[in-house]
Amino acid sequence: MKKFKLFLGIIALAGGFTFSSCVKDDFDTPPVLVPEAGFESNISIANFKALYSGNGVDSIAFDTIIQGIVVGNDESGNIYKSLIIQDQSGGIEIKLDQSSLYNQYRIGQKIYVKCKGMYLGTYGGLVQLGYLYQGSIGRMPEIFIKDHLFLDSLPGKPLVPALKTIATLSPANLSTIVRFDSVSFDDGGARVFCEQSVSSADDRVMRDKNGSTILVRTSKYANFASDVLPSGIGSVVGVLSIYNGAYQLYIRDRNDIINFQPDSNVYLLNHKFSALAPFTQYSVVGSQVWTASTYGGVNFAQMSGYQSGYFANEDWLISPALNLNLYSNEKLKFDNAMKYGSAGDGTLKAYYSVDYLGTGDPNQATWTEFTGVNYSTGNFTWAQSGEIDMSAINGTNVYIAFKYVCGTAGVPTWEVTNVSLQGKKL
Amino acid sequence: MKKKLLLLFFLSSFVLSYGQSLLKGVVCDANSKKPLSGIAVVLNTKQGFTDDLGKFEFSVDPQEYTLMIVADGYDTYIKVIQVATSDVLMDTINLVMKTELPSDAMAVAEVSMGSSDFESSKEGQNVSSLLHSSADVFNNIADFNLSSIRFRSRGYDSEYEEVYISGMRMNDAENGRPSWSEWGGLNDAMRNKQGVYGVESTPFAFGGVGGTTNINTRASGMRKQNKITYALSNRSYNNRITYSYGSGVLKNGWSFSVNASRRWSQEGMVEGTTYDAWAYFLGAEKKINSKHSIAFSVFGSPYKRGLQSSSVQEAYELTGNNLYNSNWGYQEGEKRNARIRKAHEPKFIINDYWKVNEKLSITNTLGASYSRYGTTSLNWFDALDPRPDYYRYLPSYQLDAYAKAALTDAWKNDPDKTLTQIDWAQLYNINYIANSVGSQAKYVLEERRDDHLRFMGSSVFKYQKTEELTFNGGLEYEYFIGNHFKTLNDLLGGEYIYDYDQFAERDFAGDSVKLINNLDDPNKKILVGDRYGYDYTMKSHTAKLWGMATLTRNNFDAWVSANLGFNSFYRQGNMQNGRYADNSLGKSEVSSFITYGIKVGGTWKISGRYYVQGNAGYLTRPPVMNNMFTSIRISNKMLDNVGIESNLSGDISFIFKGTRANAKVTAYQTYFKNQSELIGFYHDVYRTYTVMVLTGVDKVHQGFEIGGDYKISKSFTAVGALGLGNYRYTSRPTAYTSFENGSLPDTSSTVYSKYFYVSGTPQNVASIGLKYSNAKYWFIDLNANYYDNLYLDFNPARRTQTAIANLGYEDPMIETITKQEKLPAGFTLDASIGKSWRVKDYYIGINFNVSNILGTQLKSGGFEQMRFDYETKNLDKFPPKYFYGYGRTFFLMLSVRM
Repeated sequence: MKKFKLFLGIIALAGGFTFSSCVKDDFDTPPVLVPEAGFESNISIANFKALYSGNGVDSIAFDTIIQGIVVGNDESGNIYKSLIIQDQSGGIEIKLDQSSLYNQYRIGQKIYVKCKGMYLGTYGGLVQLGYLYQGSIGRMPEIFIKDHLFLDSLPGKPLVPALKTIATLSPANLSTIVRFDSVSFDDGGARVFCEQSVSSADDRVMRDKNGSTILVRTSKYANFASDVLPSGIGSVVGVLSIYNGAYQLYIRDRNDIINFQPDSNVYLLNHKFSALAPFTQYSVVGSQVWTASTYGGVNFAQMSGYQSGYFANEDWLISPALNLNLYSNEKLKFDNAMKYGSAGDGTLKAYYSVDYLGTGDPNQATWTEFTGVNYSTGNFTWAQSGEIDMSAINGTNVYIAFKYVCGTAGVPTWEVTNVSLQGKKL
Repeated sequence: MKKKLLLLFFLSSFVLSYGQSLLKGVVCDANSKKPLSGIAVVLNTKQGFTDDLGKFEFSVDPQEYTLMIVADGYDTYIKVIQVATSDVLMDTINLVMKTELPSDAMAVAEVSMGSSDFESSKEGQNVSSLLHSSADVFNNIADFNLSSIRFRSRGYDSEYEEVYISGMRMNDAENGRPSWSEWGGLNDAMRNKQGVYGVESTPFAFGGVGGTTNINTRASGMRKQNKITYALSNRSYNNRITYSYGSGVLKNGWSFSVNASRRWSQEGMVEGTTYDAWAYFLGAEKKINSKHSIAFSVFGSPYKRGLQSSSVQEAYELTGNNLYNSNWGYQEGEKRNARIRKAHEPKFIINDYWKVNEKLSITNTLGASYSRYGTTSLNWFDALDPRPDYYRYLPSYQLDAYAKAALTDAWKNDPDKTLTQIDWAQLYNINYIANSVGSQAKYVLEERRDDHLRFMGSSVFKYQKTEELTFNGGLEYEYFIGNHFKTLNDLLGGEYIYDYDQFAERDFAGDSVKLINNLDDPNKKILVGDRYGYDYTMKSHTAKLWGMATLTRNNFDAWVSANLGFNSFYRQGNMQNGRYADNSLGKSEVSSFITYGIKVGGTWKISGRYYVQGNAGYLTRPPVMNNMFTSIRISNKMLDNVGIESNLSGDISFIFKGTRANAKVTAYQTYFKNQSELIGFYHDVYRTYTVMVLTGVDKVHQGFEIGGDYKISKSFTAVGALGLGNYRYTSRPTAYTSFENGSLPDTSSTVYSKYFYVSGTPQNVASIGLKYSNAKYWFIDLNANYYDNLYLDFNPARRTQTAIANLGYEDPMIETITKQEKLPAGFTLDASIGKSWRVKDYYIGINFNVSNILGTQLKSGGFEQMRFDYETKNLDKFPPKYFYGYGRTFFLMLSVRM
């Protein structure tokens, strides 16, 4: 028994050793570390950019420190491997060879940049801070980033974009966050920000009330690239850039598209005559007919009674059937041009009919001429018809037609294009 | 008392025969002179066990016999006996204690198991596992000395080896492999093993092509003892304490056994590998009456350990550390491993040993197993890859010379380890920044769980029709439920995550459904402990019926066995995934397979010393469940080209058993036909989990095994083993590649891998050793081992037409791309020294083992990365990943037994 007690003692000892030896593999959550740069900037961004010689790549040899608030990063994928920071004086784009930058450099994050050892250069006219890559400005390798970029505190409130108008943009606004009110996108509601079929990025035209335009450039990798451009009118925020003298705007994410009031206007017709169809022609008199033609990059429908001689003609250019009962507030517009005749000579007139059958001699139907139309005065000068109100016209098979009539003297040539009929869907 | 011969039969039961005369003897411990009970006594092909008083007896015919007594912890006793017509009463046989070498051997094999961090969700350990006291001299040497270099007997994958514990099959129903870590640390409880290599016959199951082992945990078979050991090592753990107790058979018919251990270290030889493994075993057995004994076994090995990574050669060279482990990093000054495996897989087994009559015995078994098996891993959402050795972070990826130099320098001198190891502080900071803007966490730790529950029942009989004719057979059934899912383990300071597939978000721009992993609750904020990502259950039924007839004659044994198997399984999706909205939830098609096998073999006993043994078998097996599904985590989509596999195998051996020398020469040939292999990996280009299933894989494994030992003198024994193998692919498999997020259609291509080498094991091995032991219980072992023809696991995609497209005929690049890499041959030297004492009633043993004395760090394996740059075909862009062996290690053990 004694020996057994001794053995029990050994077991107790071993057991104690066993249970008391702990292997640490559980970890607490460390406290939040609020980063602090611990030094100050010594030059404003605007003054720093002004140091750039203007051509090639300049290496920065002095202890230059800038600071700014992040206004653009790669969160949505529209901006790639770049940060845009801004101070009171201006903004600058910093090119960095690292992805998912936004996790560290959120919008509203204050950072300091020690620029010594970095490079200044331009791309398409935009001054950028980065690194030397094959003689041009390139991205700074990841390994060096931590020696140059320093966070200061946690992300703060994002900067409020400066309200601008397209016409009054200046180079001082480059690489800053700007806002435009009451703007619309060409092809709004119809095209996406960027097709996936393009190689990298695509431009869309943004237009303000005054008719000024700016290109909005979107990468195919942006998470909103496949979204449809907003229709109607609203406000747009973005980082201003420039490429070979033309301003560009980079939207950071969908939240930069603000308060677009959807415009319910739709096109019942929007034809530019690269071919006659869906319009049809009908020749009542003469062997000359309406044809699709082009000049100076513009497509149009053309009719003339002249063909190595003058011939009497009556020729109709007729739209497809339009169901106006589905729309209200219809507005017709078209462009026209003529030569070899005199202004308002009546050889071309625009009509509509609610009882035309769609085929056959239009003279069998009742046609009403549009009034108040502005016609070309000659010399092939394009005239805009002006807005023709069709809101009072109803019918499920309404046709619009252009009727050309001439005798054997004073035979003009007429051209018609950009026939658009917009209406609000009921 | 003489008549009261209690034979403690193991599962194989016992052989009693009634011949003209009797051979009797008593077995005692040479030191204590006390009788040893339950010791296996082998007389030619007959086997019995000593009773409580150490006695045994056999009925014998007049002829020459070889008597062999195999006892764990003792030197094997062999004697040739000439039996005449009268009874033979032998002198007391004194067995000499071998100190604790066998348990030490287990420890050596154990430490090399499963320490690597493979990509697959749950892998078996490809370590030769048939450690048992067999007479197979080649494998005894090879298993012990070559386990550290991942030598696999005959190159067989462990899924071809069937492992049973007290009648319960341990092979995983999903991947087919036994996982020895499920009962790690229970060396004493798992000591009684019976096993065969290849297609030899076994009395407890039909068996697999690669061998069959049964570990018997009957309490009555455990050595009567109280034992405690402590070991110190510098391998995967530093400390090990074990306790074992065996009550022996008590007067009331009960037997009890206990085994418990803990293995632990804050850090193993590889940096960042924490190790904390406990183990318990409780066994009880009650002899109800002369016909029934009921045994219970309960055991498990709960453990938690930090895993080791594999890396590219560049990382090993930059850090100057062949054991570089990219899985850990400092968190507030302490090493934290991102890959923690936490498992506990307890098993419950009940056996009824029923001796119906003198001729018929039946063993009935009921078993149940529950498994909790999880491995943590970092995951990240639209953020930088946190793994320090990601290829873009290595100097070789840098184009700018100055940046390359700076990065090389930073890798070589990284005092705070924020570059070369995981920068936990940075991960936390990024999450804190995300919190400040209300974003989801960018970095999290997830735990991937592979749990299971299974129930089995079996009945195995032995019917000794006549002295010459024996029938064995049985029925076996298993119901398996495997549940696979992941849970959020640690938000790393973040607040929540969404259950979206960020890559689907990119690949299906504008699609708001495809990115959702769980359509049932698409916008749920996932918190710690929540299941997310995927959740599915695999259910299978397996039934087996087998029978065997054995004919035993004086000059030959012959046997034939056959089996019939039924297997059916299906997947049950528990989450409706946006990528497979109509094919992820609910039950998949049910797959059913009927398989069969036939084995035949025999031994020609030329004399008591010379034997010729031959075995052959043709077996079919159902495909591994996981290989039938192309995106098993999130879809019920199945491959219908995966079919039944067939194996044809045979071996022939010449065996010599002498009093001073033993030798065995074996030639073997095994054909594997229509195997399937599954390779799951993360595709960097398409940024999605990708599965490649190879079908129609044929292989041949052929070779020679030569082993022998020679007792030079009373104290010196020389041993030697030589294995020459040729393991090759013999077909051109078809590779089906499937992208889990479905962003690209599945593709299939022919893999030109005919005559490629099977990887994962050296094909040629040699080992020689010298053993010294003396009467004062000193022993010294010296071993020299050599291996060669170890090949790198190859990427099938690099052996396709697409991989060499646009290369001209005879372009040298073709060979560079398609050639399989051979790893360097290796040489190791091992030594052990031990001594044991008896102090009153205590047996004290101490031994010290040093493996790889020369300390050479050898590549022990590796694999080519699955990513390949089809454009530039630059192999250095995604170079292979390697594993290195430990170099010099030691193991020091002290044991006290009473």
